Amino acid sequence: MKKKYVLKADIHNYGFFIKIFRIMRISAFLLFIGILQVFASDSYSQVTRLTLSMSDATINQVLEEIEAQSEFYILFNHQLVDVNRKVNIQVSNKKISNILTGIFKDTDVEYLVMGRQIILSPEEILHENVAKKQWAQDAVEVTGTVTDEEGNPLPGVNVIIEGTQTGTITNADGGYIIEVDEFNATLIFSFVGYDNQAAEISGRAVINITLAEKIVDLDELIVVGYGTQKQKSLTGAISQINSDELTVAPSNSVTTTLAGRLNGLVAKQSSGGPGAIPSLSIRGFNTAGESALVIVDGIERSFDQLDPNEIESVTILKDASAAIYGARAASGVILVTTKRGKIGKPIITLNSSTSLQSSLGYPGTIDAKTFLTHPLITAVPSISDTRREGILNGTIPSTSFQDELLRKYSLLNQHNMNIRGGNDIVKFFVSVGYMNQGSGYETGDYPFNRFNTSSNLDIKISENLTASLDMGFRRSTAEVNPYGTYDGAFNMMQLCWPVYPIYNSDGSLSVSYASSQHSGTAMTSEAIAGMDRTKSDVFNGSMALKYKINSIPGMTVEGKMALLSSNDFNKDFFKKYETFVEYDGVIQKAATNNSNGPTLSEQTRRSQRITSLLGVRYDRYFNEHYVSGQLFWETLNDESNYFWASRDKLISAEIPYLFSGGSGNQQNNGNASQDGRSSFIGRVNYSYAEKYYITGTLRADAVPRFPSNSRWGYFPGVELAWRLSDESFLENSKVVDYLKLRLSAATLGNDNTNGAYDYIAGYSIRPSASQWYYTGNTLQPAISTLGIPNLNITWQESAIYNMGIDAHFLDKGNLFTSLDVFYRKRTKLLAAANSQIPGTVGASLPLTNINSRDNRGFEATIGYKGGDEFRYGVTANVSWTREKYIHYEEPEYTSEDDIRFRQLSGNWVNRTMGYVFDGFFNSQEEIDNDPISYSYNPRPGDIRYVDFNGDGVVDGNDRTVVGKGGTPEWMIGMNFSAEWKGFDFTMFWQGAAGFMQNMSNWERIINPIMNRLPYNYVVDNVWSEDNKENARFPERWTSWNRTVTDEYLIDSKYLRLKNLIIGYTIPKSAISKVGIEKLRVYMSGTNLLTIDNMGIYGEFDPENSGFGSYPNNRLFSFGLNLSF
Amino acid sequence: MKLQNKILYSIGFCALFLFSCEDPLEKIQLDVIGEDKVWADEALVVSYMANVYSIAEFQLENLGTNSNRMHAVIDAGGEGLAKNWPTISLIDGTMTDLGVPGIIDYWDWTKIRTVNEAIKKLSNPESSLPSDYRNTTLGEAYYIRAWMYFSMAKRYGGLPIIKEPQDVSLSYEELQVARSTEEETYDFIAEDLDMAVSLLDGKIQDWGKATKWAALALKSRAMLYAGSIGEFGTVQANGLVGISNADKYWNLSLEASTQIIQSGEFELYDDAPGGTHAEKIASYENMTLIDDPSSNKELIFTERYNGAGGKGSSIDLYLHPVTEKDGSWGSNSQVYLEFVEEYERADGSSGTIDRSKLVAGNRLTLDEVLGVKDPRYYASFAYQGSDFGGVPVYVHEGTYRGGILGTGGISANGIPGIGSSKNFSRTGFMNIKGITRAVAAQRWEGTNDWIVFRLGEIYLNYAEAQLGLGTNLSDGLNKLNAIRERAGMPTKTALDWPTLKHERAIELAFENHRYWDLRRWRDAVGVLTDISDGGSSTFTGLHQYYDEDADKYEIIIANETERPEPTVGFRRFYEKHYYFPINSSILAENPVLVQNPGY
Repeated sequence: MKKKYVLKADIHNYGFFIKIFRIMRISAFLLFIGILQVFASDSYSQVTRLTLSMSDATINQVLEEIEAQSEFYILFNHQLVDVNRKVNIQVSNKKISNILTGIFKDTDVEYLVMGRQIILSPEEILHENVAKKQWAQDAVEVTGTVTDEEGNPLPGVNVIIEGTQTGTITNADGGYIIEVDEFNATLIFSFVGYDNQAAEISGRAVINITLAEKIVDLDELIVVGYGTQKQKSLTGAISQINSDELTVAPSNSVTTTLAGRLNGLVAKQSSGGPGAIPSLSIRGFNTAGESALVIVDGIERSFDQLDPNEIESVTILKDASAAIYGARAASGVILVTTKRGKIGKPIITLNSSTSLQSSLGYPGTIDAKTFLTHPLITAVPSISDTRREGILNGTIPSTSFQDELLRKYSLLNQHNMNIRGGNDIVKFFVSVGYMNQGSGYETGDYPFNRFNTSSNLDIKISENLTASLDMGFRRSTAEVNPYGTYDGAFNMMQLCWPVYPIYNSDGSLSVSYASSQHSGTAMTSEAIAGMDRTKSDVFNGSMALKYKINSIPGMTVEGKMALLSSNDFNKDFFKKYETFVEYDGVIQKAATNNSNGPTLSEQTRRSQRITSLLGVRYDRYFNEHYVSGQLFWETLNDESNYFWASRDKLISAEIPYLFSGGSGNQQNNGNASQDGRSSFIGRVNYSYAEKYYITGTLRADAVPRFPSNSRWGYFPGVELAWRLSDESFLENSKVVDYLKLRLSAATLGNDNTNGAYDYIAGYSIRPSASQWYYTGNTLQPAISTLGIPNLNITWQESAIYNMGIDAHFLDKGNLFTSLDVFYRKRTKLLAAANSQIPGTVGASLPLTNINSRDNRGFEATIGYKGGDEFRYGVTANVSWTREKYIHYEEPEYTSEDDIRFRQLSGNWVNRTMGYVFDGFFNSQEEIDNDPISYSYNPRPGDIRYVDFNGDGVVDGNDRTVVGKGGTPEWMIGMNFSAEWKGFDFTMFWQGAAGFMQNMSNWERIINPIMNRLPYNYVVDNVWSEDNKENARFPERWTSWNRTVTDEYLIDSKYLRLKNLIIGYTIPKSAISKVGIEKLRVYMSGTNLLTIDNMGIYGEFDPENSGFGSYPNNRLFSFGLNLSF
Repeated sequence: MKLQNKILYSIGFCALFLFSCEDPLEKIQLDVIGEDKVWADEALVVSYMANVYSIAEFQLENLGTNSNRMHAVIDAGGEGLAKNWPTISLIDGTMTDLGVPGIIDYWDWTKIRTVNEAIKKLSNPESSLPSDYRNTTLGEAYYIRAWMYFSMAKRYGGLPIIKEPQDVSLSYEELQVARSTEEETYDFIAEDLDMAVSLLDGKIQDWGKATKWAALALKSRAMLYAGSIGEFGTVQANGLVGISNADKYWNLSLEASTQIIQSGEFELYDDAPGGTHAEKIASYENMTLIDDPSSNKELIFTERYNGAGGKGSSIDLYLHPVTEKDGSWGSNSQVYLEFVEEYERADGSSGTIDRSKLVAGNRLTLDEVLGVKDPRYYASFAYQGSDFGGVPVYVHEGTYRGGILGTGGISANGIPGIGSSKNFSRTGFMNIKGITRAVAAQRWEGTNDWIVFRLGEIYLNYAEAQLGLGTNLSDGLNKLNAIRERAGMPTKTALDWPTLKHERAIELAFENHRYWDLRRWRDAVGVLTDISDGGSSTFTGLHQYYDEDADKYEIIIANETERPEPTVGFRRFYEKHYYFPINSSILAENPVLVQNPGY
């Protein structure tokens, strides 16, 4: 028995068909396919008939004869089966079973026929296990089952003896048998889409293997909502980013990292304050209150405060693929998947980084001398003549509040430790992380910090039953100044007059702005002003069970129950403080801020969300047909409670608790709300030959916020894909490696609108006691009507169409590209119907579903990767999107002017209306001789606007489109990466275009009336008698000069070197002795370089929002990744 | 445990979770009270009526929503000048039919619908509410509807008369109601008030609620307005504005005033009859500050406030002057020098000052400029050095040290180098009538009641109605003199229009009368237009600079044109402004409405 069989996969196994027949009861479709299969083959052992006529032959000879006559191959152990025994055998046209029964009658040898395999063994051994070690040394039979990480059998896995051509393939149940003639041989298990695994036999007869899925390109698993799909079988417009990219450079939030990296995601970071994160929208679907749905591990919740190290992937669903989320999906869906355990020994990973943050900066403001001498600055500070003289002759320095109150660098620290591992029973991932982002203030006050911990467990209770238990807890603490957010502090700092010191000679707080009590110094100091601190605790826990139904291969039943509980505690503590003015050594009080202080308000908000999910999945290949389907029932219950209390005149600022408050002005309030959702979710995927794909989804959603007659919404979606590259005409192409066309269409909804419960006629208690009535000595709460109900109010509807193409070129697919074009039309947007009842009725009609808008756009990605020892890659993506009003409920405008600047219907959304700049009035004479009249009496130095409508008068009717709005239409991302001998290098550029910043206010005015501090560039370029030619800014602060005009609407397109990372991975050989698996150290920089078009406003950040906002940060980081 | 059982238990446990949840579709909005419940429950009707009272805006200025509104009428009436500029189009003559009068608008028909809903539900004979309660509440509702209609009529003239909430399912055309004439509108107001008087007769009500007397007081005022419009105005636009029969309304007003005066329920507040000048000042101050009806019998109807944590008034916060003792806010309504001059001297002579002395280089005191004035002036104003709750008020804009004017903040002779910029930046005089003298309350925390009707006004209404009728002038003069005597001023010997108008301006100053009075007397075109623009008035204030050595002041005239942003023209009031325009967008959506003349 030294035959070396290279076996073919035995998928026509008889047992398989028994199971198939069970499925047939369920599905006529499957029945049809099944019957085809039945006719295609039958059990070999049942149909094969043998004729033997042998006398005094050894068993061995008989068996050889059987093998000679048939395709049977017979396996046995010479030590256990006596094959030298002589037998006589005379049979004609008998089945193999009859023959074997005959020759082994009265022995302990049993046989087992498996297809063409026959195994002979002593009865007890055979029944115990087909292959114990007692087999012959020179021919070990190894058997086993290959499964995936979820325990599903993997058919078609290659099992090869290392170093040979010998091998087999697993059958439909994942089973294999291989004959190995080396006791210490190694088996290599390989399967497309999975990591190869080697197993030393070491005399074992049974080797069960679990293959881990391999994350590479086309076989990468993409999260699609209620499931996953391989990249190559995707039918929707979906982008995904995985863990290694999410943690490539330190940042305060995962959302900060996403900008530019996920094609189709529009991000804008408008503040760099501690804990501040950018706003995100998918494809610019970001109308207020209509942000993308975020799902973390199947549960609707936010993700921006997760530890990036906890996250496995972030996926965005941009087209019909979002339809699986029905009534919440209209603005796209962001799916976040957290890391889970993997089979293998526990690996501890430490990721640690420290970053130096520095502000991207602000335009400079004028110094004290200019402040005192500039003719346009009429503010009179309370300073002595001595100080005034000193400032003018340079002996007393100008105070730069920004320099004094801000520090050059602050720290951003991030540390995470996680452990990942498991065996075939328990797999786990546990993580603990800490992040601290310091503020830019010299005091170091008002930082942000976050602590995250999570634990994901998967437990295989039995072959078919798996439980998953996930828990996470997070605490974030955000602090800002109580007298304004962090932006407020930056605002105030820029107002402070440079003629005042920070502190007076006795250490008291100096007046810093007019003689006002407001103080830039106080705005950056907890010791002076107090603090507004929010502690947010979020706990999430979920339990899921998955049961694989044996009798229906591919069928799984699962249930999940998840709790999300968040508790916010906010403490808003306003100290009372005084500012003083120093006048030649005499120090007097100037003003008191918060004379009722210290005041304290505390609020807590508890909210709880319970999501339950019950459903079945089916997933199966039938030759070239692949069918999968999911059906779920999901419910969601929300409730939240809010409580607030405040007191004045605390006994002492050192006791910032409510009990220390004075008896006057004790206030409290609270509220409660609840919400729910019930959904049925279904999806069917079918593909043929991995070339033609179709996905159909249908979701039904109901929410109590709409009346029962319009509560249920049905959201269908269909996606088609065609892999042309597998067609015969391209199969052998040297150019095209992979080519896929995608088409999709769906109806999505948005029921998170402001018309909630508008179908109920009733009254509500007016929220403020100032709206109540006090009679006698009783304060009587007032109730007011909720207005006329809309008995038919319903969700917004959104139809989305997408066409996409994915391609990989060159032999190895090194050059890849993808392109998506989409169109989205939203209807049934809520608006109050126009003029349908006269105002004298005294009631307004409720919101009805009448408005409509549409978006269109595209995304394109192109990339190349190559190299061997020196590996490199470059990827660039670009997206564009724009939205238009189709119908906007508005009066029917008749005048041309109104149609131009008021009418929204038929016009782009991202527009700004204003006047057209026409220079300045340079003299009174010019004004007097101007044939055009103005709705204002201009003076020299004021702005002149164009009489746009030519009616001889410049007034509100001369407004027109002067530019775009503040939302970028173009987003660009470019990533360059390279690896060589342990060194890695990444450079990431991010850019945006098609948006404008409006520099209409402080950014362009010397402001004598408000006595604020002007920017240097304004002072240098302001209109004056001596500077008419080159003037850029009007002389005075008036509403006329502040209005929106094209001149001060700045195209803020930019391209920014977002990250530059250089890392080095210490060679394994150097560190493995000390037990370290991997050690990488890296340096990175964030926001290193910006190319923009801001011109005179160049010191402003194009991504930020102008005056008074906290500037974005530049980061220099050092970090290490350590695994052992 | 057998594997099979393990699985069963696990799945059973899971299912338990799933199905033990509440039905997500049973969720409701927790803070909504169903419509059906309200009109069957007395407590909820009380709350409904609390809303009706609240939206009536007896204080006129809904302080909660717009701090500027409280100054708007004072500003518009030329008594003073708001610190901020909310009222530009209201005072500079640029009021058009686009979006104005804005700041003191009262074209809000949800108010009418809300009160009509109450009248409809309370009139339902099948209501389960106790009939006594139902009738009293109905009386209150009629009173409030009359208040709302009067508030609109004095702005716009004749109005659409809508007596019950309209069914919105009717066609657009059916829902349109045309304006009635101004006369019909005042008749409707009288009709509602008669209903209120009869339903509230004999009812004891909590203070702050409508009473028979409040209804009569409103009738006294509303009919007086109608009478004076009949007397001084002209009928235009087929009667939409203007009244033809003055005497009818003078009589109705007189009747109502007479009933109140003769009832003996009320008396003029005077805690120092025949007292000294100082005692009279204190007495008048008390009259404006004591809001307890048991100790201030002059009060007929007030809007009540209980301060922090409840229904608080913001007027204290906005109007108190900024002093050493407190606050960064305040001083929001500053009074013109001309209105200060309108107050007579204590001896009854004219309060007009000699402006020729007010030149740079002179050193004076404010007393030397103004003389000893009507006690009511001292009870109603804050000015340089005046006492406010025990601390001095400073409005000077700088100090001369060694002959050099500085604006540094250092004190001399106990006077700071400079007053609060809040105080001096307009005129140097601030209105503090009825403002608590305690340290300023925060926004929405004031406790002083707002006087809506007091006997003093009824006396003046009575006098004016007699003057209008011209039949019993001496009876009218007696009432006017009672007011002057209470204030500590010499009596007048004859009742004529200038005497009456002066007394009304002073006695009812800053109580939301002046602007409406100038309009209904048709005096506004002259009085509210700058002299340089063809009117009869100037609008000035004072700059005051302290001289450390002389311990006196340099006092010079501050002209209104000195405002830092002279984008606003001088005051102008045109004939058409006797009625506010109806916003063109309102007309556009309702073709049966007719615009007022001149717009």
